[in-house]
Amino acid sequence: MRVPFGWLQDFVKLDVPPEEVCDYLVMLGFSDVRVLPGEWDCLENFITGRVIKVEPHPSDANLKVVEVNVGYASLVSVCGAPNVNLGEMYPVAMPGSKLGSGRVVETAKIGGVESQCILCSGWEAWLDDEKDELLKLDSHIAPGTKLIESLRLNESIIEMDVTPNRGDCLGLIGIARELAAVFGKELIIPEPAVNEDGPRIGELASVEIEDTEGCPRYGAIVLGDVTVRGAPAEIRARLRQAGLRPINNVVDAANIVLFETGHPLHTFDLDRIKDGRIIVRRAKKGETITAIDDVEYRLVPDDVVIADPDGVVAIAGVIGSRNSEVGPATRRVLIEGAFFDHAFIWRTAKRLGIASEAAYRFSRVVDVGAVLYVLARTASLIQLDTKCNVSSGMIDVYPNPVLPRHILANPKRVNRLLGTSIPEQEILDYLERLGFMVSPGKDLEVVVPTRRTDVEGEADIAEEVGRLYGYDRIDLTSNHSRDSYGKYPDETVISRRVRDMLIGIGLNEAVTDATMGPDRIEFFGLESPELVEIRNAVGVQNSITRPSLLPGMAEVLVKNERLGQEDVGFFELGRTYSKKGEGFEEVARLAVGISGTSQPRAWHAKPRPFDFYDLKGIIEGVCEALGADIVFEPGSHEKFHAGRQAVVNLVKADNSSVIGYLGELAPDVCEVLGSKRRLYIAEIDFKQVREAVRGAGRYRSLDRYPAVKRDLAVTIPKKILESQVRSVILSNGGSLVESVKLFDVYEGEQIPSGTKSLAYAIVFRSSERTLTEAEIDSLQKDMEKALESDFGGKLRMKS
Amino acid sequence: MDLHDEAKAAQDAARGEIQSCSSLEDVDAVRIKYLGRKGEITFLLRKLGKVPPEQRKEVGGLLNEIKVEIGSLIESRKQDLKQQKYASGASAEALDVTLPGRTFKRGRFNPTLKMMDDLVQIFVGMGFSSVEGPEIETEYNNFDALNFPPWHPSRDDHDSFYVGDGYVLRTHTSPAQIRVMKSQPPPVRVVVPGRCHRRDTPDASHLMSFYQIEGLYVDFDVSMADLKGTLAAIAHEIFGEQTRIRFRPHYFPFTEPSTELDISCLVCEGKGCRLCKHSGWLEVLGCGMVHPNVFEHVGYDPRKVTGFAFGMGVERIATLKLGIGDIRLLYENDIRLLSQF
Repeated sequence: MRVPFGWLQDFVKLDVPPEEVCDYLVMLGFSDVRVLPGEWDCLENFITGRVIKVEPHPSDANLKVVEVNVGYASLVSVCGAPNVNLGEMYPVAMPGSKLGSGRVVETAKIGGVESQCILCSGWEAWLDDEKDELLKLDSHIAPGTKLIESLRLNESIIEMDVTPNRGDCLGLIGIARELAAVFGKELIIPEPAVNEDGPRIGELASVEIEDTEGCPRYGAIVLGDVTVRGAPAEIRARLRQAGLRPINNVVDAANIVLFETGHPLHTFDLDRIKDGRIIVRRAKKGETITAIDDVEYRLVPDDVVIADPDGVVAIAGVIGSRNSEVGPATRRVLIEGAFFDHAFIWRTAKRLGIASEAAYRFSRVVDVGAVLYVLARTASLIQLDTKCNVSSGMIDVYPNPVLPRHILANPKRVNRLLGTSIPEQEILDYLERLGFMVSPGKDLEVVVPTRRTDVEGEADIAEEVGRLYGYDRIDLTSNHSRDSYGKYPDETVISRRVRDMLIGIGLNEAVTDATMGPDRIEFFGLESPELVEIRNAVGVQNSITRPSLLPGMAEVLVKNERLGQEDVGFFELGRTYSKKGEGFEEVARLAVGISGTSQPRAWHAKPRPFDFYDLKGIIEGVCEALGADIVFEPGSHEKFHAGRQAVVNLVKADNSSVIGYLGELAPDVCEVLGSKRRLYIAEIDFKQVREAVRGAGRYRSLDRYPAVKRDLAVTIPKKILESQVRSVILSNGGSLVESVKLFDVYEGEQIPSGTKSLAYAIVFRSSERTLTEAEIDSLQKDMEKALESDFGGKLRMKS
Repeated sequence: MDLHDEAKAAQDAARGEIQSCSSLEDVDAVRIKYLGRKGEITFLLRKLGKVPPEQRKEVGGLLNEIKVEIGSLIESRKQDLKQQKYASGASAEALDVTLPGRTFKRGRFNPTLKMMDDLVQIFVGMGFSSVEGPEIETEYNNFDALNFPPWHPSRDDHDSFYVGDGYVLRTHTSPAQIRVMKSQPPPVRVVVPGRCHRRDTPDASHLMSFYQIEGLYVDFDVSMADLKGTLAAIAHEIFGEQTRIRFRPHYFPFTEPSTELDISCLVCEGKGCRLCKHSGWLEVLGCGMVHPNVFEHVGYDPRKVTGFAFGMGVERIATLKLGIGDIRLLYENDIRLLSQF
């Protein structure tokens, strides 16, 4: 909202500068309030000039030689405009200045006569689109005055945002009311003075409302003998200050009132309304209208329209039509002052993509009570300018008048809510200054003006009081230590531990998109009936909520590879989404991705690339730290390297379940992703891991019997899994095996091809006695036998 | 040469030999040569019996003196040599202490999530409990229960993502307010950190997904002064004690009165610069007193309880604190950027 400071003063006389007024506006609840920098540098070399002599041009009959008094001198201008009149004042552009037409003014001989300056039209003076006639200025101003001063274009403009609940402040009077209240000044509302000298309104026009939901109130007034022409220069300048474009004196008057009151009006050429009959109804399916922006809009039955018996003449509250607009030929004008339901207007304007001043204001609720005032005010401005006649009486179709809201507000409760102790009289005073009527009592009875639809209850009253009292004057107290201590949910505590751990081993935390496109879904084989699709996605790339962290992680790895990072390690702890039954399910998942060099080149160590076991170790470490038991077995995920992937199983007391997978992405997948590396990614269901977390165990005595340590190396066929060998060792060792550690894996010349050798360090211990060498020997024999019989294992060494 | 002269001669010889020892082994040889069982001094002491009784005392004293002296010379020479050996050994083993140490790798948190952790920790310290809610929310919890009128623009499918009949990707973490209040009687004191989604076109200050922390405090006598006190404390905790703050009126459907908290600009300290659009102030969070209609929706009696709620964009605070001009950088997942923090 632009607030021209001089215009604002028509409604409240302020004795503080605009910059200071901004601070008050901020503390009243307006946002981004600031004084705009001057916008009229282009008029720097334009001054006012009075015509003191007009003579025909010696060689060109279309031109005149005009002498203008510009205060300090008389200058000659060769001029072609039709309305150069002796004694009148016009804008004068001095040499060097650039005109609105783009032309730069210079002293030049035209047909042998030297032209020293240019008399300007509205177009040339950067004001509007009027190209033919010179812009007539107020002749009382001294010649030689700067044009921006004479048109008050040098007055400050405050720009600010008005919150959506304050439609009443989308007009200068609304803002003036707020400032008058805060400064304790008088609010000046211009009294419309209309001379109702025309025929009775009933003889001229009629209004029927078919859709009272969309249009609760419709008023009209008719003007006769109207001369439509350019509005006076001061009006045009004001509209420019307001950010509006001058059109003609009728439309401009309606826009002036719109800008003063925030209430949009519309003007129709009455002679283009069939039978003078206005019908407010819903649009018929397929009905169209060519609006004043020359666009044809297709309407739907949700749109409220203004029609005559022949068809639509305007989209209610949004935009008018070409076929009914006021133009130079117009003699009779019907002014519409109405109240349309804001939700209808908002939906229609949004659907059609029309951002008109009217739609903007109707969408935010205007004052249903202001209809007659704005009609009279507009009529009075036009009558003042054109001496037209005004119908006697106005049409006002208002089947269900809105009664002002009554609210009971208890001053004690208001103070309690605000944390203040404002005396009752002061509360009353604040409310009255804002235009509320208040009757004192135990509870104040507050009558809310119809313009303040946002004030619905006591809390709203408290806000009004608080705003005028000043939010900055409310104390800072706190009672936040009272009977409450803050807690984190277990999930957060566990997530945080894991994140800390992963950061500690050098992984970075990734946050990837929560959505993806069908191409990603397909590429990573994630199709499923449980996918959650966004019905109104911005683009297809973001149309499905992610069912997996895998695609995002792959992208992060490849991106950092491209950026030249040698050592790339990331994790993401985030949600995935799926349908579940009638509703939805969100699951926290942990993804880990590594690629490149685990050990970068350094003076103390050889570089080593990341491999499968780095990744596996991370997942094992996390689960081990949390106390969740997991086991791995070979996997068969299509997108992973066939021989380098595993399924992760969570082992619980009575069963085990698959919670994820890990491995090296298949080479063809890496290639499509644009990676030249091996990419290792794991993804596990973190929710299940979290639920499996065990608390700290009980203390176990450290004072135990001595351990017996044995090494065991066995050569077995290559295809036998280490986990199989380990389980044979464990099952034969029974409860006496304390730990089994694999310390070497060998394949090579020293053993037959197709075999591998695994070497273990086994620790035996009993919690009840000292073990004898003999019983350990016997256990180890059992293990060896079992390994031989199960896998054809050959003993390589023992100690 | 009598015994006296022999003693003197041995003394001189021992002194010289000790001085010229270059190893602990040499020193030990000298000790054996003079003080050992068959050593020269030992030998001379044995001859003391043959000395006339009137000289015996004097010569005996002398011999003992010499024995003690040689012993102590040997000891001190030993110490010197040990010292020398240690010193030369240390220099042989000396390291270049300026070589870089064996580093261990250290990853970095995502700056937004780190900031969110820090913020939640402050609130927990003030007695707020942290809770989470679903991102796929009912329209009722996300809008209706929070007093958004049916026609409110943010319900529009231009602004919110819809995933099914009556379900929306939450546009703020505020719906968790509703869940918490419906699940327990007052008092309530919670913060809700989490991911939210809006149908914004990504630019320097907008994302389709972002993080928010919602806070709610409801009790039987909570005032706007409490809101101011609590949030002022938080702002000072986050941005430093020297930061000036102001509360100005604003509008949110679910609070009344509503206010926004501004802090003095972190760059220009209030003088006006590009960051604060020359206003000297930076908007940090929105807050207000819980709207009575919201209490009605969760079954609290608005005539009995009052409360305040607030919501802050974590990215906003992170970018302000870290001096990041474009919010999208927070989610680039670029190690070069992450390593800065």
